[in-house]
Order: sequence, then C-alpha cells, then structure tokens
Amino acid sequence: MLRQRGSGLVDLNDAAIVIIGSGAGGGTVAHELTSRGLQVVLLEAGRRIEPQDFVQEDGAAYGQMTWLDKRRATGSWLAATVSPAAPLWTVKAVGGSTLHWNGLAYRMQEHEFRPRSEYGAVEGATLIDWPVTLAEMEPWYVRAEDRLGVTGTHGIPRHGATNNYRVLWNAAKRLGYSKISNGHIAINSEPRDGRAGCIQLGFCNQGCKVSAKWSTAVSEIPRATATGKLDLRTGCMAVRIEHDAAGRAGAVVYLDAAGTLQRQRARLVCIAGNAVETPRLLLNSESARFTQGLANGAGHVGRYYMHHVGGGTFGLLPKPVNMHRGITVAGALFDEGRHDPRRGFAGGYLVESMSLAPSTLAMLLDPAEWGARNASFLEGYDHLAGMLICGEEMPRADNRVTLDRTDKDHLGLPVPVIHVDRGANEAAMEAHARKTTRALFEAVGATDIRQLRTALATHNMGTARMSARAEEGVVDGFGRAHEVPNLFVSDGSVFPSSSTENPTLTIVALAMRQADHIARGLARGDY
Amino acid sequence: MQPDHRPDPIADSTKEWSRRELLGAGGACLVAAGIGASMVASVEAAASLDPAIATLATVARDMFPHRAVPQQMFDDFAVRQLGTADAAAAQMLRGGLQDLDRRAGGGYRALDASARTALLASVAGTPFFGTVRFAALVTLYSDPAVVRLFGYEGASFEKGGYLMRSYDDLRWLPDPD
Repeated sequence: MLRQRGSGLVDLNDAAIVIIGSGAGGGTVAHELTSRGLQVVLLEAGRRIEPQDFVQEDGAAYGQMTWLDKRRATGSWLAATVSPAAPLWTVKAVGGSTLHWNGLAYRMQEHEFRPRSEYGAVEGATLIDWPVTLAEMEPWYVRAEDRLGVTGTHGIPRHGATNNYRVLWNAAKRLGYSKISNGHIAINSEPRDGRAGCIQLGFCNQGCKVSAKWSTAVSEIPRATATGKLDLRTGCMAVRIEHDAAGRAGAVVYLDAAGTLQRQRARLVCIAGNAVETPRLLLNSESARFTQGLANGAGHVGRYYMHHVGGGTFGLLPKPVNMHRGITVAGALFDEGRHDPRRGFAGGYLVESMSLAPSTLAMLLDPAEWGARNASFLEGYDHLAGMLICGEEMPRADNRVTLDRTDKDHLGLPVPVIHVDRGANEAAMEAHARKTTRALFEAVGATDIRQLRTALATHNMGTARMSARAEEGVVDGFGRAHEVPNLFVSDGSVFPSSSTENPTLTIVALAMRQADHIARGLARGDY
Repeated sequence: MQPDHRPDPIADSTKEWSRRELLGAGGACLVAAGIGASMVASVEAAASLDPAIATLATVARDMFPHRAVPQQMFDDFAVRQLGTADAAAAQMLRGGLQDLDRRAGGGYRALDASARTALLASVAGTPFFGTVRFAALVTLYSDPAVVRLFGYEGASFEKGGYLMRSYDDLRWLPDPD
C-alpha cells in the first residue's frame, strides 16, 4: 500500500480525525477543529477549482463542477423522467456545493424546529421534532452569519436592488405583501474578511470569479490550511468506514487520486458528503456486526430524502428588465413562508427572485416548449423576470436513497438509487405557489407568464436524520451516530425536516456547534 | 424585442440549398466564428448528397422559429447531428425523418409551415422529437451570437460585471424601500 498523503502531515497509521467532504458542513468542521489546534485529515472526492477558472457559461460550468458519478432516480418526481441519471445538481470539487450555491443565508423559523408538534399528522409523512431548538441555535446562527459575511447582519450593508429584485419587490407590494428583503445574502457587499466586494457579475451558480460569495473553498479551507493542522487530500473518494471490535469507527478506506485503495486510521470520523453520498457511505460500510450498514440499526439511513418543493415562474414584462445583470438570486418574499393550514397544506414556501441564462431557461420551461410561442417568449429575454419557489417538503420514509448492488459505477461501487414520490402536501403547496407567482407577475403587467419544471435538486436533506430518541433516527442533536459513538454526520443529511429556508446557513451553524461539541469531548478524552 | 413580436414559422427553410445562401449572412457568421470556407463547402457537399440534412434543419427551425437566426445555424446543426459517430443515434434520427416524410405523404419539406407544425405536434411524444428538440435547444441557446439577438449579454467578468453599469437601471417601477 502506498503511503499516500496530502500535506504529509498525518500518517496513514495515525489515528486521525477524518472528515469526508469539504462543503458547507465538512469544510466548516475542518476549520473549526483546526483553529482549536486539532489535526484533521480532510478527504475530498473532487479536485480544486481556482476562482479564475470558473466559466461564465451554464453548460460548461455544469460540466466543470457537477457531481456526475452514476446515479439513478425513480418514483413520480420529475427528475426520474427528465434527468434520471443526474437528478441532483451538486458539486464535486473542493468547497462542495458552496461553489455553486446562491448565498441565501436565511435562518429557520422557530416553529420549523418543531414540525411534528406544529403540523400534526401530515398524510404520508413521518415527522419528528428536531432535538434542537431555535433558541439553542441562535448563538450559532450569529457566529455563522459573521463567518459567512451575511448582509444585513453584523453591520454589513445590503446590496443595491438588482433589476430582477425590483420586479419582485414591486409585484409583492402591489399584492399587499410586507416581508420582502434583499438582505441575508452571504455575498460581500463590500470587501470583508479577505474577500472582495461583489461587482454584480451574475453567474453566482457558475462559481464566483471574484470570491465575493462565501464558499468553504475561499474561506474555511484556506484558513484551516493556514493553521498548519489540515491535511487536505483531494481526488479521494471514501468507500467504506471500518470499525473496531468495540464497534467504534477505526479507519476510513478511500480511493486516492491515482485510484489506489488507501486506509487511514481514525479516532473520529465526520461524514459530510451531501444527502446522497453520506447514506451511501454508511450503507456501503455494512459488516458482520452492522449488517444493514453503519449507524443503521434502526433502519433510518437513506430514508426521508427531501429536496424542497421547487419550480419557478418567468414573466414577460412590458419594459426591459435585464434580469441577468447582477446577483442571480437577489432577494425573496417571505410572507408565504409561514405555516398556515388554511392554505390547504402544512409548512410554507419562499418566492425568491431568480435569473436564468437563456439556455437553462429554455431547458426548464414547462411543458417541454417549442414552436412560435416559445420562440417569441425567449426572444423577449431582456424583458423577462424570474421567480423561484423554495418550499418545505415533508419527510417520507419511502422517499429514500438505496444502493443497487447489481449496478456499479466507474469505481466499482454500488450505484445509489434516489426514489421520490410526490405527496399531496407538496402538490397542494406547489399549486398555491404557482398561483402566487402568477398573481405577482400579473400585478406588474406581465403579458406572458410561464412555469418552470421543478429544477434539479440542489437542496438535499434528511437521509441521516437527527432524533432525540435513537429508534427514530440516525444521529443525535449534535450529529453523533446513535449507534457509533465516534462517528458524526456533518451535512444536511441530519435535517429531520426540510423547513422553508435554503439549508446552507443551518448546515454551517450546526457544523460549528458540532465541532465545538467534538472539541469539548476530545478535551475530556471522550474519543 | 417587443412582446408582441411573434415570428411566423419560417417559410424559407424549405428553399433549396445554394452556394450563394451558404456564403450569405449565415456563412459570414460561420467565418466570423472561426469556421472556414472549407467547412461551408463540406456542408454544401454533404447536403447535396443527403436530403435528410435539409429536412432535419427544417425540423429544427420549425421547433425554434427565430426569424433573426441565420439559416446556416440550423443547417450546420443538422450536418453535425447526422454526422454523429454514434450509429444508433444517427439511425434513430434518420428513422424519425423518414417517418415525418411518410406522414407528410411524400415530403416534410413540401408542406407549408402550419402543416409542418401540426405534423410535428403529432409526434411530440416520440424519442425522435425529444432528441432533436433537446439537441437543437442546447445548440441554439448556448450560442452567444444567437442569444445576443434576444438581449442576453453573456459572460460579464471581462466587462467588469454590472456594478458600475446597469445592474439596477430599471426605472419604470418605483425604487424598493
């Protein structure tokens, strides 16, 4: 076996703290632990992409950074029909999906931590309350907002109103809505924390070329590296977590960039591979002792996959908008984010101002459009404005990630199958949201209004959920596996419910809280 | 572009190919894009040997009838699609085109624009239709020269972004608070 090392800091035979995945969760835990003087091995399946190499063209950027390892989607969700081999849009690179996120950094609402108590029984859903409250999360949200440089917090000014946001704001005002904001975005409105101020490039989803947008690639990981405590190994795909005789995680087996199998001894493991790869790794780590996979004694690993109620609406306005100029998602309408069962569904949704380039817009128009009407809509591109829906999706036991052991990917690993059947709550919410966005566009005089197909899943949650009671989930309120005391999950997989908000700020806040918990445990000699 | 600007399905896509047309506006675009005259000549040669190319170009134009987009775009698209190294894909395309000609009672290109649109609608659920639509869509709307016609300005980094120029220049609605 080769002595494959990253920085050469940690030997394969050292019992190390190993973090798998360098995105919002893993990158944050790595920074938090190294800044406390702890050595960390960080395994990242992707390679590093430098900001100057980002490409401002949707197709090329998608090809450059998207996780495209073999997958399969099944069920009644649209991805199973239109994009069954690539149902998710997540990133395989240092920084993970923080490279392509939009920077919307919204806190979850108080009631969203208690969905079972607040919503009651929802058809087909298996709701539990979070084992953590907003009050407990608040100091971590404050810390996360400071770290990310969230506008409208910590004295950070908001951005100016982009053209596209101006349409949303005016439409919402005309309909009598009151909660509309372009604040709470993790994109520098002025230089801060070693990163540049935004110059309104657009192309936030294609990677920020000036690093005004926060990502772990330009913030957490360089800082962790600067501590001298980080051993970052890129191109390294974790394939199995081994345990010792006591049932504790003892090593991480991974394929390195040369395709050689390596085995890093571990005293503590954090998994942050996003909500498909995280359960996939746990399921692949089955053993004589853990016959259903690691941390899966209660059978919850891979279940309750959630990706938000999505979709969007675009409208042709009477005068030019030029939505492509500036921040891609520049603000949101929050009034419909409340829980109000009189609307006919549980949970709420946000309406977010969003622009798309013509190629992506044409691809997502619903139904599959063609002909003169479609041509005329796209010819009016500079008169278009766009809105995205982001709504709470319910956790359903059969919406889940499983492994197809008869089908292997390029590394010889069983292919993950992502099954989603849409429920009645989601359908009712989507219908309501479509009515709302149509009314918004009509309020500002749109002459042609089109719905988008539900876009690819970028928010992925729930497949290793946290629970107060071990029999109801995979990990506890700090992300520690109920079954394996030195194994943690550090990404959005731990969400017991999806909430209405974009998940990244909560992932980062949870990761900071988890790292603090781990560091305290290590100091006590727990691991 | 005005919202009421709604081009009719393009009639001239059924015209016979000629060297003059190839070297016209569309050819000039190709040359400007770095595709030389040899490519144009090979397009012409291929089209004269293979009527499927003209039919596929017409189908693509009927699906995306942008009056301002040069015919050469669609012709070139058809040549590339039918010239694919994937034999099964090429065969599927040719089968779909033959099916269209058969349904047209002789030749798809001989129909008038509205009849062609109706015929396309009748096969809209087929793999042939889906494949051509998706490929044409990606080709067309990823082309900076095409989408510039609709007001899309493409990459912004080289121009310094929009902060100092127009990201917030919408004045026909009141300013947000």
